[in-house]
Amino acid sequence: MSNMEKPEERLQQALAAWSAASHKEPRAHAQERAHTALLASVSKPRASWTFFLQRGLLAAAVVAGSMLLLLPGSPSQPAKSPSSTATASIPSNEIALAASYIKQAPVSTHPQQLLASAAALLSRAQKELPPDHQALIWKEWEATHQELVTTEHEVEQEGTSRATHSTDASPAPPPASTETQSPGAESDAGSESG
Amino acid sequence: MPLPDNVSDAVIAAKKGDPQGWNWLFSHFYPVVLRYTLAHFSRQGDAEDIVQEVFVSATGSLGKLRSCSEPVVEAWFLRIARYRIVDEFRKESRARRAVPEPEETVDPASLAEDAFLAAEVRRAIRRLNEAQRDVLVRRFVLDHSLERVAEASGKPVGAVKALQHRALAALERELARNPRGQKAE
Repeated sequence: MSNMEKPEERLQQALAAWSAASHKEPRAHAQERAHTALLASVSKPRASWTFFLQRGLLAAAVVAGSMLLLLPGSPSQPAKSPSSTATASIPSNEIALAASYIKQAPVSTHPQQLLASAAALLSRAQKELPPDHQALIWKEWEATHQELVTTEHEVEQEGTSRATHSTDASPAPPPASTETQSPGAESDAGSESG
Repeated sequence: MPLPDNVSDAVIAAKKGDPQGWNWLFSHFYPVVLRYTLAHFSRQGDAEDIVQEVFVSATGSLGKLRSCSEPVVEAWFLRIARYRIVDEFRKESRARRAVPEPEETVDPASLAEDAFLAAEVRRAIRRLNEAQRDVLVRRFVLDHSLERVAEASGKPVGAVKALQHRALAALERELARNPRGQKAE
């Protein structure tokens, strides 16, 4: 691996064991939990001066608006904007992450894992979609699902050659043949305590 | 907004607060950050918790990232992970001082040889300094080239080589110091 002098055999063995033990597959449930936390953090406003300025202006606008509504002749029932358009819905986030996984799968060292995660996300998103199949989000879901099927097919075809590549001398990522696993199928146990 | 195609587009989108940019960065860098963290912690659950914190914390400091090249962005994520890991080590160390317990609970008899060796390395690297630990993880776990480590750390290749040499020597000393390590041989 390096052009330095070779460490002792015992050390080499220890390093190889350490490397192998650190190559664990990302687990879908942990990945999804982290992704949800990430998106929650992204959507959370940061407490900067611009944030406070925006909040101040918003508050002023609300007060001014309320006062206008109290004036004679003003509509007593202001139109309510649908809250669903203000923030991205959960299925929309899931579909977006699934699309991202699918896009990266063909160039990833662990395409099956990404596609399995994408499939799980799409399946969960489907349960949360509105009943109206004409809704835009349904088209988004269908397009992403179609993309998943196509990519799965492509990855499957390349599977053999990919597996061959992954068996070189380096501490390579897990083979592409990893099957979809349910999150509960794995455990922390694999391990020694640290 | 279309899905980003590369790390640079993803960083630009993420800086604008676009979730698609974060989705791309997350799906692209999660595995490597996890692997980096697993090099320090045996329990996958512990490592996953830290990786989650790394990504959440990244959302607050992405603006500081100047370059958008893949090695730089990866190094940035790994640096956040490194700080978080050091925090965790400190926490564990404080907890050990409060309740004096054996430093670690590796039982050679209960583990396969490889798992035992991996645990020994994880124990030993905690005694190295941060830079030494980092270079060993990048070179032997992430399998990065000397050039890539040099680029990520902003050091000349020769300096990284020397650092690796010192780190390996320190690791060897630490492994030899452990009586359980000798027992396992």
